[in-house]
Amino acid sequence: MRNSTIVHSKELKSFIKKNKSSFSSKLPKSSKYWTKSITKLLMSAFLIAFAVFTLVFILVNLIPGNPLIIDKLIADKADEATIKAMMDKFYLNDPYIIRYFKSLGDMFNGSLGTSGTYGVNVSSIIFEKLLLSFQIGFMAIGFSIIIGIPFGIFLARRKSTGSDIIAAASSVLAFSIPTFVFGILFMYISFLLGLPIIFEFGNWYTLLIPSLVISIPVGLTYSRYLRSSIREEYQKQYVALARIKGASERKLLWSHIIKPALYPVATYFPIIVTMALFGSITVESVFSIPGTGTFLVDSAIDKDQAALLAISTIYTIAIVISFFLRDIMIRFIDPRVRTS
Amino acid sequence: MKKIENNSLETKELFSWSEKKPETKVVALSKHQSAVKEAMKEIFSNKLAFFGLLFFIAMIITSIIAPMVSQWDITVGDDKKILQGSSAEHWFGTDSFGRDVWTRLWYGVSISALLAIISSSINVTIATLIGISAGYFKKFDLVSAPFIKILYSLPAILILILFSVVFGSSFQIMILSLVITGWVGPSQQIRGQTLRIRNQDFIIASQTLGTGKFKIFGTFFNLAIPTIIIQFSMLFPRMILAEATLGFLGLSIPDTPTIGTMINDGREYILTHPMQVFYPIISLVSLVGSLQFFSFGLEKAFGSSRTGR
Repeated sequence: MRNSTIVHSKELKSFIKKNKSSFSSKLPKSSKYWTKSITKLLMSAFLIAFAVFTLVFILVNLIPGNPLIIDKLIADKADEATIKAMMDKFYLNDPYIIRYFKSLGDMFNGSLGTSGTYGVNVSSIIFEKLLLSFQIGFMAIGFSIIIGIPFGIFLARRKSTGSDIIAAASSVLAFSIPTFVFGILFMYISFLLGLPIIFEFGNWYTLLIPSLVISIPVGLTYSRYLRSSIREEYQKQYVALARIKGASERKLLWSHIIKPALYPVATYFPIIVTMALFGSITVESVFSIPGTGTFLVDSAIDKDQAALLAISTIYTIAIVISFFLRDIMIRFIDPRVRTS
Repeated sequence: MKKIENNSLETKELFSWSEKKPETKVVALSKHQSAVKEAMKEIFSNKLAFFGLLFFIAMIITSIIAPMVSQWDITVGDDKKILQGSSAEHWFGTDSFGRDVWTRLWYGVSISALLAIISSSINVTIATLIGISAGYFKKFDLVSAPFIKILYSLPAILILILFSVVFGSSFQIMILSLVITGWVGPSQQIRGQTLRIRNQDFIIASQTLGTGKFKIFGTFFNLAIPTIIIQFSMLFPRMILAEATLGFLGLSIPDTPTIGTMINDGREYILTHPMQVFYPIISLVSLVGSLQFFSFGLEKAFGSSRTGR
């Protein structure tokens, strides 16, 4: 009996090997499809970024006052030529439409406009901060994968009430505790334990705790997606067949279920990236890390128009890219999307 | 053996493809209308959800009554009693201006809850109207799709920050900025549901029999009621959290205690007087958490699970 099943599976394998080319050739793998869909997605991404830039430009220019009015002491003492030069620097002499195109040009040539508070190009300030935020973001994403995937598998594995309660509690935790509260809690705990929390330039381990804080809600969200994905896989008929053929639970999970279950979860990855990006706004503020998030909040309090415009545009571009990547990943992973 | 029974499909379901199922979708309307009642019954039997709701209502009632009953004012402080601990006079101590934290905290909870109730009900109304219209009228869907795509990629926190800078933060502006991005997600959910229902037989049948467009629109509204309730219960905590985040960054309504501003005020004293931060944090987490338990119960009762955003 047992012998016959082995022979059967061997026959099946050889059959699949022989006919592999005919199986795979059915998918539309033409490069024409990819160039077409990528250009389409890129166009829409570009248009969205453009629209958001316009919206933020209108909002930013509705801010009452300008950098010169805020600095009234200097503005009163300076002569007219200086004031005019300053006004030119911030495009304040131009009508709105020309100002719009000049700001747009600044976005393209990389200077990102003149900061109202610092008086220099935003790009020269923001580059260092972006690097720092990226460092935190990458560490946070790493942590969230380390937390999320094992936790998701653990939750999905057994259908006991205990794991259900843990799953429900963890999703309530992820939904009802904002990132900055985790930040405050971790800061207080690590202060009591004497762990490094005060930020130093060049010391990457001072960024460990902030990135761990960002990764907690992100990782819990990821584990929830993974759990529901694995549970869905368990409902399918091939699982029933594998069980009937006598596969052990462990082999079933690791060699049959995990791969198809991870595919849909992988498509959430870019969204996870943006979650980490926006988690960093408040967490940087908690740990007073001079990253992009604190720069955004500071320039909002200082009403720094160019900086606000630049950061908003950078964030929007990051989000648009993440959605673009997700759409590409969905097409890449799931051939059914390609055919339709 | 037990595990196999648990996870595998029943034999009936395994061979369901072999026999044609009778059309069950036609009676969906009458079934759905009683779904709300059945869900309510299930919620009252679900202990976690029921106590979540009870706790939430108790918190709201306390937040209305406590500042009224209290002998302390929310704005007037005593500069001789700065940053005190808990005492019989000041239950939660005093803040850096000598103001009573107990009174301010409950006042803040009521303001945050009011903000969330108003903004989430406006959001749900907009989401329902736009969602059903986009699902039902194809032309409207084509026109609205790009706008929704743009709003979808606009992060809510960016809009909140920009609005508070541009228009100055006040109660009305807060509601406006919470409404601008909040309705997009729920409207997509309702649109998807409407799209699913639109091509079902009973809608096509009533269309061929000559039912007016607005009456069918009303039918979609009826069928969307469970989704609307779930979306409302999901939006409400999100609004509270958005306000708290903004307040934490120091950009919420000035001169009024909200949960966010209380956390921001207490932040400076975390290492010396940690309870200044932890009282508002505990109130925030218990308010939102209790509501989340209720909304998870709602989802379970209506038989949908939370995946995606």
